Amino acid sequence: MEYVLRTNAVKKEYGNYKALNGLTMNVPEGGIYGFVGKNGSGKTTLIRLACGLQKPTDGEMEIYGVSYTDKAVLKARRRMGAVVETPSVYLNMTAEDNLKEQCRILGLPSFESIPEILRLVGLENTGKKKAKNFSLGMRQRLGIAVALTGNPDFLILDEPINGLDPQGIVEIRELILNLNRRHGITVLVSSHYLDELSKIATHFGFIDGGRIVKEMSAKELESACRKRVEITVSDTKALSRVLDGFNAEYSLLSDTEAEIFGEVNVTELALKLYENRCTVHKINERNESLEAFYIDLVGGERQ
Amino acid sequence: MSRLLVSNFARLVKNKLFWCLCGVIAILSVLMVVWNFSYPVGRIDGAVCSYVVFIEAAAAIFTSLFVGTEYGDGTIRNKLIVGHDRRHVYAANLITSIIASFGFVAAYMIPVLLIGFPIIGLPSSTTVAVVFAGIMAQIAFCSLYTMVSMIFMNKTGATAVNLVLAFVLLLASVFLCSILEQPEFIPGYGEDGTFEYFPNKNYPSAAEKIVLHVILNVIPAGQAVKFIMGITTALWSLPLYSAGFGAVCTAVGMVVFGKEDVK
Repeated sequence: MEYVLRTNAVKKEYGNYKALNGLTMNVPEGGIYGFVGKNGSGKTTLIRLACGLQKPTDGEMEIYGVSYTDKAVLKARRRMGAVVETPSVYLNMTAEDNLKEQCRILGLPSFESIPEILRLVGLENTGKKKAKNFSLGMRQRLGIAVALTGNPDFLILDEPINGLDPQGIVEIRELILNLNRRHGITVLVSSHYLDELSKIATHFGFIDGGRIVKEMSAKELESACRKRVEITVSDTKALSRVLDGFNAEYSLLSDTEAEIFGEVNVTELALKLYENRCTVHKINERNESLEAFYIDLVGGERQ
Repeated sequence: MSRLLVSNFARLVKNKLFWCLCGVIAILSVLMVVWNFSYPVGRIDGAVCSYVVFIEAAAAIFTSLFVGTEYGDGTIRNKLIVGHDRRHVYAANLITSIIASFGFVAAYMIPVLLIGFPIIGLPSSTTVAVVFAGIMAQIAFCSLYTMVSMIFMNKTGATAVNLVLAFVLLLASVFLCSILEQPEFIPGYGEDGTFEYFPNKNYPSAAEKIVLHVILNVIPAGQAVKFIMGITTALWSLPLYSAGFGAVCTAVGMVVFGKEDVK
């Protein structure tokens, strides 16, 4: 698997405060990487490092396989676009002028890509309205448009839905999906809105206390958060026979414990087990949400 | 870096503050010509040499706000994210600041050329040399203001610091020049009531004079005040002082900005 961004034991200290404490992550090419963590966990710090706005105190970081200490990383960064925290746009310029400015910064020979980018983010009809008069959602989309200028193949979005209304959240979500699926752009998107990220991300990195506590694919997360029944019985062989008869999906955890996925008719199961001389000691239904999974992961308390 | 310069120049041309400052400087230039013309013997040299002080203030305001906007709006991140070297970002902002200050010089000199020269007369060759020395001083000013603006990542803070710097350096220069201008002897009455000249206790010694001259030469504002007050100085040395001052400011600014954590 190719990776667009890899970090190994990256540390970032501000005085005595450790913002990143040995963070290791791998962002695979072609996917949408959901970077999940609560406020102050180090998401934005990592993004600043990846964007070259700050340098790590220690550790390794590679962009497209080029170390951040290598001068060639400046060239590798030309393949990137990013919106870090707030959208970086000139407030006293129109959307079009902002994109023209970015074209000049990138040294693009013409402005012909601008109408298409504006259309892509839904800002084609803003005319002479200046960015300072835009709504938060429009500014966010303009920030993404600026980041898309130069046709990057790696886009970093830091908390892109913060402060947006439901309509704005849907628009940004659709835009990210569109960029990834139709334009093949790898996206790293940070957020603490787990449910939103779960709708778009193909990979997840959970960060807490400045380090990644878990990296997993969307499939792995889905199975981790599936509705399941945890059951403790006297004999799992008997349990297996019964579950096979039900065509149920399950996994045996020990000689006495098992997990059954999906909906289970508990009465029917208990009766069948009784017929098979198997005693049920404990049965517990779990329906873990993404948030509960994350809180379990970082050792926080459920509310 | 050429891309950064193209981008900055495009912003400069559309910058309303730049054109407003040019307008204000042009009006001040006309006023200076009129004021100098009202003297019994018109002094075109005075009108010409005053320009550095106005441009010092204009450059402080413009550089702080032009560079500060990049931090305020966060657009400096766009340059760094796409792989521009920090030294190039710094240098592009410095060059833009210098080019803008040339614009201010033009705004001042055009009224002097069109109105001052025909009605008062042509300047002396020394004044022409002062103008060229002043241009180097103004480059040194721009280096100082760019350094402050690039190090302080706060638009308001950088503007305040630059304006305070501009006025403090100007006032300090006026104070130092007034010491240099002290007469060696001051008139007074002796014990017997006769009118005499007494040695001035505040008159600087030869060594003190050298130190004062060096300080005034190093500070670009000091050079400007010297021009206006007509204090004799080795004109050829002033551009060297300015170049040194500008180089130190730029080196310090680039090193600090290179290590700074941009948010």
